[in-house]
Amino acid sequence: MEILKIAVTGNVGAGKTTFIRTISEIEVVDTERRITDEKIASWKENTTVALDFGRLTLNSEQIVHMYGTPGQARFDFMWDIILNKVHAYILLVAVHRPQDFRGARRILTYINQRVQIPMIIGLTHTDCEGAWQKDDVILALGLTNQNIDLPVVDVNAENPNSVAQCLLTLLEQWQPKPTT
Amino acid sequence: MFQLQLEEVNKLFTITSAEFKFEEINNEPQVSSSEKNFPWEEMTGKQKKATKISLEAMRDYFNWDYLKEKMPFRNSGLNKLVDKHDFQLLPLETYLWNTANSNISLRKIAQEKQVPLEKIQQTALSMIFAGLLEEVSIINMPMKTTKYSIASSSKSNFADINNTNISNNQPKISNSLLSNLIAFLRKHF
Repeated sequence: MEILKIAVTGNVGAGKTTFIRTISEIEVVDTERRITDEKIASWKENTTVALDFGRLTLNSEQIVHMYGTPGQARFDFMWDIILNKVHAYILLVAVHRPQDFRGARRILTYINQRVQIPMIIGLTHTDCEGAWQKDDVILALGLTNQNIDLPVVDVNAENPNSVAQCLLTLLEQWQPKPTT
Repeated sequence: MFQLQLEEVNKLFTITSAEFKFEEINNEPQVSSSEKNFPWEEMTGKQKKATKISLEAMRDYFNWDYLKEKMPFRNSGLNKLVDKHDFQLLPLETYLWNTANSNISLRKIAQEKQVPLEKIQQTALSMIFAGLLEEVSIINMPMKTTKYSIASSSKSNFADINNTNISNNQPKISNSLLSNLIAFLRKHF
């Protein structure tokens, strides 16, 4: 049995659980619990405390597993566990919450320090009030001055087509880049 | 004259809630619509980067209470965002610059320099705002890297995932799976 493992990460409320629920063929294992952080609890009732898990079966021998990481900082230790197990990463960033960009940037740097695996950034909540433009988010995430060449795509975590398109963009990262 | 003007600009950093828009002068011979509103008679012809102004102003004028939540974590480290710079740094800023990229936490720097941690965090943040440094997590465990490289097979459409330093528990992914996944996604969504 061959398993492609993809991690979906991001801050609290970025849409990780929704993203996996939307595309998974199985009911996502519910690890959402009532939020204990008072600040976050004011705008979001539940958050992931363990790994969300979703699956796509391609055939009898090939499967895709998706893992959603907990968003709250105190579960950061789980990243190292996941990082060594997955083949690719999707970092979701809620563009209507600029206060979270610093956290997203921290996640990005953290991953880049540890692994060099296919990765893309998915921008969520692009239709919400106060949403930042893509170029501004790219700047805020430090993608320009870190010389990081990562695809950045808009994604509606509730829309299966949008999530599928995001995964297709991720798969493009495996294609060899033309040599110069 | 320019220095006096800068003093006034520096005082803007004492304002607790404000938004400023910086406009650049074009090198084009024609004056743009926004440039028409510039106070040309007060301008000396000298210029300074906004990042340099912010770094200098934050040294003396800034009320750090408003940025408590933005402070880099005590256990974080610093990485350089640029290889070179032409900023005139103070001794502590120079120290942070020289120790960047070396996986040393701010707490450790504070201990070594015998400077309050808060001061280290403030200096680091002003250098982060100036685009010189960035906050990074300190690696507490042995570095493990996974790299993917171009597949050796000329028939392959995908780069192959080859583990270099990572433990062997991460199996390779075949081109067949990647191709099948693409087909699956295109068919079902």
